[in-house]
Amino acid sequence: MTGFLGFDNERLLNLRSAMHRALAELNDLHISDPDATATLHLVRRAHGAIADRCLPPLSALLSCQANTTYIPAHLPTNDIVVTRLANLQQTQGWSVVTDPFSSRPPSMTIEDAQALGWMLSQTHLQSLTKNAEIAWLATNLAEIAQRPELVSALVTNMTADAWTHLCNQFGDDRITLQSALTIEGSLSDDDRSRLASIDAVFTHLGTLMSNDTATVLNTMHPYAAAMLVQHLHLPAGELAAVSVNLIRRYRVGGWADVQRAGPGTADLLMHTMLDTPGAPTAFMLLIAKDPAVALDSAHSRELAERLILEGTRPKNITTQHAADVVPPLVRYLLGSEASNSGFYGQGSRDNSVFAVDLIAPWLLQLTTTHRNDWHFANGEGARLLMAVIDDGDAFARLAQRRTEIAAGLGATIATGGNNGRRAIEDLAAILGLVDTLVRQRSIAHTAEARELWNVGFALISVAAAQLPGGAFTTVGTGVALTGLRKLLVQHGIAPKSAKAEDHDTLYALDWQTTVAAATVVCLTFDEMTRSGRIAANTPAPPLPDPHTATPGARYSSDFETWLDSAQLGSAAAVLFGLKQTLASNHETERDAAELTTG
Amino acid sequence: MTASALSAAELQQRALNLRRLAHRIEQLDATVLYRRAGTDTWIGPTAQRCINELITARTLLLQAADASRVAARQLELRSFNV
Repeated sequence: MTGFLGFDNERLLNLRSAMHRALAELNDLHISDPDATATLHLVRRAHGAIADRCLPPLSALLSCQANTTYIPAHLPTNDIVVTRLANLQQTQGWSVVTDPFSSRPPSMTIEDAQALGWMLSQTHLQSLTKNAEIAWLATNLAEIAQRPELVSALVTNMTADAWTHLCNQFGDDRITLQSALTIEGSLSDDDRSRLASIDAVFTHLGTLMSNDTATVLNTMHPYAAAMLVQHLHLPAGELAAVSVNLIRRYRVGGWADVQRAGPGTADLLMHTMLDTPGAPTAFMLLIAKDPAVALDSAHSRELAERLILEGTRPKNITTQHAADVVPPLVRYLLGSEASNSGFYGQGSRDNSVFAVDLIAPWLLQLTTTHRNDWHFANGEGARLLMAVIDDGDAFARLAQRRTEIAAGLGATIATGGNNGRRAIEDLAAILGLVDTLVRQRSIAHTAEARELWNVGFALISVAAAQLPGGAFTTVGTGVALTGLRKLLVQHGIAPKSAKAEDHDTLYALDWQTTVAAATVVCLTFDEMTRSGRIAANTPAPPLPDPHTATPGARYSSDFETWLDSAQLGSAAAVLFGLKQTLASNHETERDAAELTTG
Repeated sequence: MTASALSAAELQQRALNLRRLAHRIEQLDATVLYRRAGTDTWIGPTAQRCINELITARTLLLQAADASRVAARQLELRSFNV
C-alpha cells in the first residue's frame, strides 16, 4: 500500500450525501412488533457501520481542517509505488492526501495488475533505483504470479520493451552487487536486501512470463535473459538450445558481466542445465563442433567441467552420440586454440588432466576392438590416448579414475546386449590398452603401479559380473574364487598389498591378465557346478602360481593340464574358450596399440 | 398478549407488516452504497476500509430482511392453528 489516499472530490461529496440519506432512511425504519427484535438489532449494527466507521473519516477528509491527518500531497511521477495515484492526480484532477491507515488491502485487483503493466511500460518509470521500489515490485509480482487473471492483466499491458528494459536494469544491478559480494565477501544490509529483492523480481517475472519468450530473451542482455531462464522451467532440449544461443551472444563481448567477478551468463545457464535432467547432454550435442561454447564461457572453470562431464557420462549419452562429442572436445583441449588461462577470469586449466577425466569412461572406445564405435581408423584411439597421457601426472590421474573407467566398461557391456564372451573380449581389450600405456610411459613408481593394479581389478569385477552367475556372485565368493582370493592375499599380490611393491610394473601386468583369466574361469566353473553341468566332486581349476617369474605362461600350462585331467566334457571347451579369449585378446590389443603408437 | 388471545387475522396482519419491513430493508440505499465507493471514487487504505464497512452494512441489512421474513412465517403458521 502506498500510504496515500487519492480521490475524486465530486464523487466523494456525492458518496457522503448518499451516506447521509441512507442513514436517514435507516433512522426512519420503525416497527413495534415484538418479533422484529432480531431484525432491528441487525439494522442498528448496519447503521453503526456507516455512521461510526465510514462517515467520520470521510467527513474529516472533506473538511480540510488543519489538524486532520489527511494532509494534501503532491506525488512524484517517477516513483512506481505511487505512480497510479500520481497519474490520476495529474490527468484526472484527483486530490491526493496522506493516509493514516496503511494496512495492505486483502488482495490485488485486475485493475492494479493492469496499472502495473502500464506503469512499467512508461519510459519515465523505467529506472527503478530505490530499494523500496524494487521490494514493492517484488511483493506485487509475487501476488500476481499466483493468479492467472492477474498475470494476463499485467502481461497484456506490458510492452516487450518494458520486459527488456526492466530485466536489463535489474541484471546489470545484480552483476554489480554480485561482483562486490565476490570480491569483498559481504554486502551492506541495504545491498543485501536489494539483491534479495532483485532475485525475487526475476523469480516472479520468470514464473509469470508467457510461453512466447524467445523474442524477449533475444532482445535483452544475455545475463538478464539467463536470470529469467533459471525460472522458466524449460524442457531439457529447449533449455540447451536457449543456453547455446545466449552463451554465443555473451561470447561476442561487451556485456556488463564480462570481466566481472561472480557468476556470469554462462555460469547461470550451466547451473540451470545441471539442475535439469537431460540438459547437459543436449547442450553438449549442440556445441560438439564448437567446444569453446562450453569450455571458454563460464567464469567458473569447475562448473563448466562439471557440466561437460555430466553431459558425457556413459549413463547420460549413447556411445554413438559420444562419438560426436568426446573426440572433438579432447582434440580441442589438446590443440593450440584451447585457452589455458580460461575465458574472462577463469582460473588456469590443466587441459591434459581434464582430458583424462573426459576420456576415462570411454577407454573401451579407444581400443582397436571397439574402433568402429567412434569411427576411428586402426590405432587412432590409442594415439589419442597417448596424446592425452603425456606425462606422469596425467597417467596418475587416469589411474585414479578407475571407478569411471569401470563404469564405462559396464555401460558398454550393458547397452550392447553382450553375452559373457563379449564382456571378456571387452575386458581383455581395455586391459591390453592399459598395458600398452604403461609400457609406453615406463611407469616406475610404486604408487602408480598400485593404482594401475586397482584399475585392472575394477575392470575385472565389472566384466565378471556379466558372466553367468556373476550378477549374484561377486568376485571371490564362490568355492574356486575363494581360493583365488586367499592366494592373492597370502602372496601379497592383492590390491593395496605392501608386497605389491616387490613386483615391477610389467610383472604386475602379467599377473593382472592371469588373474583376470583365472577369475573368469573360476566364476564360470562355480556357476557350472551350481547348475549341475559339472560334477560337484570335480577338482577346482588351478590358481596362478605366485612364485613363478612368468605367471601367464605358467597359468596357461597348469590350466591345460587341469582341463585334460578333470573330465569336464563339453564344459571344457567353454572354459578353454573363455580363458583363451581373455589372454589372446589382451595380447592382440596390446600388439595393435603398440604398433600404431610406435 | 398471549398467542391464544390473538385472532388469526391479527397474526396474519403482523406477518404482513414484517414482510413489508423485509422488502423495505432490501430497497434501502444503504444496501447499494458500496457501489459509490469504488476505485473510480477513491483509492487508498481509508477507501478500502470504507468499502469493507459498506459491504458489511449491506450483509447485515440483508440478514435483517431474512430475519423479518422468518418471523413473519412463524406468525402465519401460528395463525393456522388458532
